Amino acid sequence: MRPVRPVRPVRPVRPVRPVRPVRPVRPLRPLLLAGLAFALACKPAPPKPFNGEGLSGPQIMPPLPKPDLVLTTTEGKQFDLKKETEGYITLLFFGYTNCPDVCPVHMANIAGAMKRLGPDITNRIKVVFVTVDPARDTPEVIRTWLDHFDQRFIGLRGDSASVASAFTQLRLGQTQHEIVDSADTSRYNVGHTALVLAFGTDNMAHVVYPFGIRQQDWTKDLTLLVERS
Amino acid sequence: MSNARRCLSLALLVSISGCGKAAPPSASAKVGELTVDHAFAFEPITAASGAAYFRIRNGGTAADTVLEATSPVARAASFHGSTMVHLHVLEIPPGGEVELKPGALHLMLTDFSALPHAGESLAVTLRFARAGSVTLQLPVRRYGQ
Repeated sequence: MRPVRPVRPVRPVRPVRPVRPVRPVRPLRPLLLAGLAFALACKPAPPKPFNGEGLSGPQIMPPLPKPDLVLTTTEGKQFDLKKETEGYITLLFFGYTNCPDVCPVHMANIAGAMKRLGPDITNRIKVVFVTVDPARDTPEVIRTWLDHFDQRFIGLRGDSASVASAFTQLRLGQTQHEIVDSADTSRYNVGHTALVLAFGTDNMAHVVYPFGIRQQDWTKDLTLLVERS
Repeated sequence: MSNARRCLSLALLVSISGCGKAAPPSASAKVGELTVDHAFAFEPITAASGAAYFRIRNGGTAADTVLEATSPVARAASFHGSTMVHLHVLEIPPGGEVELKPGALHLMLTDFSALPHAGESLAVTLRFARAGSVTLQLPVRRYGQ
């Protein structure tokens, strides 16, 4: 797949007004200044415009907000996607373990990049896999499959309605089941999106990763996404 | 050896080693007018499913069709497009080719009785309507390699 040309941020950055020369501080002021500095530091910084320069994944406009999605981890804990991934670069991928082509290739490439990167980067990334095949993907099956790539990967499973709702929120096409063997309806494939969505610390996906993104591209992009967040 | 010659052989050596990693191993075979090459498989993660890839070129003047793909270690094999759409017929037009590759068309193998590991090979037999049958030993690679 040819990457879409990244769209440049719409608003040009306004030049910063020159700072007035600082007057010498009188002995009584430090406390006041400290208070002011504290107040300023606590004021939430306005969101920086997304910088997609040099990323291999195509940028999407408008960006997609992180979906409302509460599922269960492979360890049986409730996982509220927004809450649990707050403050992290979050890679979200929908797939299933019986998928022999797109899913394991994506996972292997992300895992390869995570292995190359140091903890300064990887500690700020969460990789979340959501099964679109909860009937066959039991927590144990998902865990074994994910551990093959990287034990840090989070595996989620839940009812089809929650996952379908996330697909709607993300404006992805719904999944489709196709029976391979009419004599055995447990043998089916699940058609689903091949995109990996990358959410920033602003909880928005500005960039998506179609199939074909190589390990070295992931390594570079994950570093840039963390450094720019 | 003259200096110029030495330089040339050195340059050749550099250009050969400069090609980077050697292409991962793949298998090829000929059957009738067909050539099958770039054949390899990924190491299945579980016994549930795995994928194999190859290119089939048709040097003949008539179209040929894959009737069946089988492997002694997998219960079933079927062709799928990128969105896992099942393809019932795989036709190779005369003078044309069909290429299976990751993220696109692939041969999906299911229910392995024995898991082939990276570095080993996986036997796959293709049966064509005109050219007959051919068995390839597909080198097995790890996903991501």
